[in-house]
Amino acid sequence: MRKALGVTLAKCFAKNPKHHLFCGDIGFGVFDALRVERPNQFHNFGISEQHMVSYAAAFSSALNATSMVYTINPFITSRVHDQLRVDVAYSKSPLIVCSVGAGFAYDSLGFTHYGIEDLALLHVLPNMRIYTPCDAQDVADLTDKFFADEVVPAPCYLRLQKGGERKLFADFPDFTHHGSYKYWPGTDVEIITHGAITEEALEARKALQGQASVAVRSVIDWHAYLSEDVSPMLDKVLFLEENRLVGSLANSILAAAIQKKQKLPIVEIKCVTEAEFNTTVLRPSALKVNGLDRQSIEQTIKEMIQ
Amino acid sequence: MALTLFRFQMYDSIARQTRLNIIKTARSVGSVHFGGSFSVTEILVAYYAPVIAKKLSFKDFIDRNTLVLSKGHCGLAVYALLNAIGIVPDEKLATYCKDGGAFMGHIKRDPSLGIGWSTGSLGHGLSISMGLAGALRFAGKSGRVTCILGDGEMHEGSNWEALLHLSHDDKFPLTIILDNNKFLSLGATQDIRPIEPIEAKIKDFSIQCASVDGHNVEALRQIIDKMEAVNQAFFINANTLKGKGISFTEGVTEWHAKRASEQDLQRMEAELKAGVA
Repeated sequence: MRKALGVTLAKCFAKNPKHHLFCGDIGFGVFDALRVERPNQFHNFGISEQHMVSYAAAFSSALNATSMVYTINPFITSRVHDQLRVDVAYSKSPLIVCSVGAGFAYDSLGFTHYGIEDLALLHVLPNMRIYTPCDAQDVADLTDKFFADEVVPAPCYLRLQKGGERKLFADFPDFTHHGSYKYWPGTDVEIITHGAITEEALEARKALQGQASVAVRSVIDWHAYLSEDVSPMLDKVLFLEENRLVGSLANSILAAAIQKKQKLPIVEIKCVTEAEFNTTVLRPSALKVNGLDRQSIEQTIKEMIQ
Repeated sequence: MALTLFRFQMYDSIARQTRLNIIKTARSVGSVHFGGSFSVTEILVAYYAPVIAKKLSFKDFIDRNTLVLSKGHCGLAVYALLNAIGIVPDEKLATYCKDGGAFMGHIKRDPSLGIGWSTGSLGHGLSISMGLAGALRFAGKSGRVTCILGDGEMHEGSNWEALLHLSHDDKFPLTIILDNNKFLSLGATQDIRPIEPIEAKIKDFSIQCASVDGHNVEALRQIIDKMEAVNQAFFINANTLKGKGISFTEGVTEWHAKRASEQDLQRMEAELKAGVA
């Protein structure tokens, strides 16, 4: 995902010198094209995330042109939350807040680097639009969209996994793109998910062929999706999210359904539940423990259709 | 000499009226941040001196100058001064902290008043000011950003992140003024977390810095004018007195944001009118 970001930013920034990237000393090799070709639009702020966010918020507001801040997930979400709240969200700064390391992407680095509370922290902020791409193609499309015009109408949060993700659009091509989400059809159970965990859902869907017809809905643009009629299409729904339940997409969708007095489906929610991490946890193990790996998803769906 | 005396009287009159406006507002809302608002008053008079001295219209002034009051809890002092110089009408100032009023307890961004950002959460203003000044520099526009910090606020780590940045690159059209009133909310800064010697610390960052009496408008303005002529950021350590202007609030911790009685307010007004402190 991050390579797609770097390539697309270089292309977009070449069209408009008012767009800038502020990064917290990460992205070795990711932004080479931008650094070499557009050094005036690339700013390495070192390890000073609070300063970087406030500076970038004011800079982009004063220029009235979209810019981006980028670093590892918790350091651009929880560490700088007050700056995001005051200087970005309430101030409606035209800034893309981009994190890398969603969920357990930085698994071996330990819990300090996990991105599992970010959505709760960002989604609670007013004016902030959340984007959760499921593969590199989504990242390229979203980046193009953010910088298509000189200024975005609202601050955005772009949540990247890391690098090396599969090209889901190529490996699982039977989807339709609905703008705010991608949809792989099915008739028995609907999985609603977002981000890189979509791959696990699609693998489970594939493995269950002949036993269950599973639909997968991967939400990319939360603001647009939640502004639409978000009622699930099927009456059995499994939410899969590589983040905490508080602030999750499941919470938002179910709250909207309750407010609209819609009939609620039968729901299973799988998300991150651990309260502490005392040993190294690699992502496959973390997914398994939380019922988010493909085998656990298969098992959950079998139980749901019985 | 006569001109200097005239200017002094003019500045003194605006400072006095600013404090009277703060007191008048306190009467209608109860508690305000007396200590920091009184200490920053002459700094604000010096900042707006070109308007007060009628060298520039207010519109021309704010076209060239943006204020970020990083110690946003003292926003009342800005509104009170803008009322004293005829920019903010009485009826608008009277809405301060009132339900539906235009002015909140912490200052809000207002381009029509030249106020560059909403503040209140301490430790944001310097980075914000650098971002605004950085945008001016990038766009090749003239103009300047002035950031007013509080000494207690210097405890915030984000300020030191910003100062490290300035240490590396100080080519910003930026004036930083520290309202160094030497008090936090609960006591003396020196007793809680000392920041001194602040001038030496700033100079150690290779940032231009000078100390000045923060209640001497002429001295403040001179140093602002002198250092603005050089196209880079500079830091003024303005030594002030918390609660300045009223004998019983000067340097008294509890007047940080104490709810004043009607008797207190009357004493404050009487002292200011008599020119006691």
